[in-house]
Amino acid sequence: MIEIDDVSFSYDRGKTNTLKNISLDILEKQVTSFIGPSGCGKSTLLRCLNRMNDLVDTSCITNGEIRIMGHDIHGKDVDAIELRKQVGMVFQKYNPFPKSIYDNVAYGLRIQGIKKKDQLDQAVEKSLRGAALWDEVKDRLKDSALGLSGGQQQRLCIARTIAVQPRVILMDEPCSALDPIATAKVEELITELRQEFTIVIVTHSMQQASRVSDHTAFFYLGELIEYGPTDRVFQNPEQKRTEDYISGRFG
Amino acid sequence: MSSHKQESESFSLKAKKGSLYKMEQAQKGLFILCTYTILLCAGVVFGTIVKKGAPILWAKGWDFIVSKPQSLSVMEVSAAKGLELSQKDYDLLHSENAHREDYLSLPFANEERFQKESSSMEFELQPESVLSEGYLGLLEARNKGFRPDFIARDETALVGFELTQDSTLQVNTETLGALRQSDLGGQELDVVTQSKEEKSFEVVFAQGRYSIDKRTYTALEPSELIFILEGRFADDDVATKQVECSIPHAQTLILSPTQVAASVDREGGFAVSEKKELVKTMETQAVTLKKGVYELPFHTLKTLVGANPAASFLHQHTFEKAPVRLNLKQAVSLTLSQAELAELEQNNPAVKIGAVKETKSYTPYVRFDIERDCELLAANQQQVALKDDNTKNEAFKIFSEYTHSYSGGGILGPIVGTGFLVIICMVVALSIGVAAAVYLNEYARKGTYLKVVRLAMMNLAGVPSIVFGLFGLGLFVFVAPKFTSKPSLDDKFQIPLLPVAGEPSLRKQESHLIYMVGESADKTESLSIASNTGFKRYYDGWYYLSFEGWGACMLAGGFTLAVMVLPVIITSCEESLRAVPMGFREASLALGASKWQSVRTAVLPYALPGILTASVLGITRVAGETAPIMFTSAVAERSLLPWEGLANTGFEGFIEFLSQSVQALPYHIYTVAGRIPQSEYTQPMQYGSVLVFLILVLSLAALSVYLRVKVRSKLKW
Repeated sequence: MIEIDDVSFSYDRGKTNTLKNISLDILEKQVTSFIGPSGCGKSTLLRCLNRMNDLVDTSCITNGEIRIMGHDIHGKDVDAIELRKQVGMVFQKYNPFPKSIYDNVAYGLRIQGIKKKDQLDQAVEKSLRGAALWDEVKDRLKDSALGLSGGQQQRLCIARTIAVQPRVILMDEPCSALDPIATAKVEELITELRQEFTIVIVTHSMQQASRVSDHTAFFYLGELIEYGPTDRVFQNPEQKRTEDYISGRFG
Repeated sequence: MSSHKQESESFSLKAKKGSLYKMEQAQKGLFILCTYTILLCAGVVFGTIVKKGAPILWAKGWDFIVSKPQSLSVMEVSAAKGLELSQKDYDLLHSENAHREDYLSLPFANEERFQKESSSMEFELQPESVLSEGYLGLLEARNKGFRPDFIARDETALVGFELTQDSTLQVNTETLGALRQSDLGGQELDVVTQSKEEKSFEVVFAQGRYSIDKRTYTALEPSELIFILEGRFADDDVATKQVECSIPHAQTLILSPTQVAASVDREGGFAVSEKKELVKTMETQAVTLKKGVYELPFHTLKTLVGANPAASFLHQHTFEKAPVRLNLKQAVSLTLSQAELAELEQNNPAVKIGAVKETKSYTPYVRFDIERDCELLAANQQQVALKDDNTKNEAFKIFSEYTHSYSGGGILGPIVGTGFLVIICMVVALSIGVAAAVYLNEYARKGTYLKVVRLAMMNLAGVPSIVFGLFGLGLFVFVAPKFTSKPSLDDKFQIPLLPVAGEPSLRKQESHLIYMVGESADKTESLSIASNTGFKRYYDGWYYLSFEGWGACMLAGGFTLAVMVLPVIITSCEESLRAVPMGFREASLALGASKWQSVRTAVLPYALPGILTASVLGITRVAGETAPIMFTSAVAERSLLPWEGLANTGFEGFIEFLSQSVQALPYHIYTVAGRIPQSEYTQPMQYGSVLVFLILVLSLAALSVYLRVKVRSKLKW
């Protein structure tokens, strides 16, 4: 699904590489988690996948290429907007717009120019159901999204993302601002979403990675240390550093 | 126990002399003292303004805002009984005097209200009517919308004029004939014939280059000589200054002796190849007329006045009676009062009046007494009404009248002017400011360029406003481009845009003179001169983008204010944009929005409250500025509101509307407080204007605070 081929990435026009020669394949309709200590580049890699790093003027890929379903995402004729429609993203801090719940979910569709009310209604319901939020908010779709609890807001952000029907959903520490109960709900949701979407999740919580993901990649100082099926990485790590990190000896 | 006590005694928590704590306390005290002193001073100033300004506001109420500034007269009037005045004028007279401290109540007594009967005549004015200009003015004043589109002066109609003293007048044969025919009140015409020699010179100017001084230039400037000046004379040039000039081809001219003396055969004049004296004998006739009123056909009178510049005629008399021929296509229905109509018919024998219908109307009037001699403040209209309505009342006398500028009325003109300036300014400043802020904050790459721009903006925000005023004067008043078919002579350069059918013609340019006056000048010849000497041709009917400036007008003032407030607007817009969380932009982009879409839908709406607050504060600043509008748009006096008296309609009318100068509130305050003669009568107006101005600024500031609090509480994230 996503092939990352020998990618190096720099935030300062190639002076220092934040990511160093990373290669890994992310499989379709599987949950892949990126773990590693802070500053190891896992979020950077995630943001490379939908070219969110374009927002930083001085950033650039210094080596290698990233292919999504065979398309090089940094190719000359690739439109970052089209790419982001295919590769959605959920952020660490839930960030619904200060609009109604309905408008939040319909946002992505509206900017694509869809105006028909029934089409929007259907999509909103489908997405909210998909994000397991429908039953909780169906009576107050016109209320401000900021009135929801943190967990609900994060699930609303997920609903907003799946409304535009991406193939891949990137999640950047989606539960770090949530309490354990909300976290459990989001994790449950992730497990359901994997039937339809390819999910890449960055997390600081090893338990979460082991609970929700099928594959785990461990990063350290911008390098990919180990990548494999979650069970194997956690129970039987090949590298010493992975083992140390998982068992809490550093990090 | 005892050991505990021992410990607490071993150190003290009390402040020691000279300790930092004491110094901080002292600083705090000083700070509070300063704050209260400043507040007290502000309170005293504001209190004075309120104390002196409030009575006039209280007395005039809403009228102070919705009426134009007026100059009132102070009349000393005698005590009288049974005076009459229309109720409207009576009330206005009251309101103009009510705020005066020395007149808590006017010495008016025995008010009696009644309906005064007046009859107005409706009549039809037929086409081809001839009437005097004074009466045309009367018709126009009494009938709104009556403006005859074309007026031909009837040159043959008799008009009256007055000789203010016995004079001997130079006349020609025609004038003499006309005088003989007219009624001279029994005196006989005493005609003296004189013969006079008139000298003139036929001068041939050869082609070539010359160097001439100002005297020569002044003498030949109105003549038909075609010459090209390669510099210009200023008013304060010394008499000996010479400027290069050239005569493009040989010319023969007939010049008067004074012209020749000034321009030929002297240092700083033209050297001519030939000069021939021509002598013509002229016979002139003179008559002696006693002082008095006479009548002559209009064109004859003009000749007579022209031939006798030293004689003293009463011109106004001439003008008022000057008959004009109305070019009406059909009869028009008009109204006048009975007396006025009778007078009109009596004094204008050639006027044609159709069906007359009388209608009676009643006006509420007041009959009142003035108990003692007093001073009255009155606007021109009340003054006239008071005199006109009481001509028969012998007891009523006016001892003196003295006009004080801007001592009455209200401040409608300045408020309206300031309003339009602010609107133009904010439209310009916000559209440019928001666009610039969005560019700087969302699109521009962070780097040296951005730093330089920000630094420049910070500097600009601190530039004194008079500098912006001068900048606006230079840019908008003198240089800014405008579309026109007739570029001004002062334009810096112009770009022809649309060729429209039309013949090329030459225009006189001040710095390079080409003279081509009169019918005799050969157009093609002078055109070739122009192109040979490298001058531009002007085509009548071309449309130009001419860089000649907009002149001192609302548009120039609004743009200048916009330039002044732009740094403030950009900075605060940027701040509000920066306050929108990065997450909104990221989320929007991650949902497949383009950069502009995400700015439009996920950033700007949430920055709007901040932008609003900033613009209200901007308005407050702009509304209060005097310096930038002083040179670019403000005038001290203007009787018309901006939308009054426009010649055009539609788009052209709109342009004309924007091209007028206006009164503005701060400038008005400057005028009434510092530029006109001060008196006790103008003072209340000053304080009133300042008070209104302060209230305006305060309420705008309050509005911005309200907006900030209100909208912020609504939009939280």
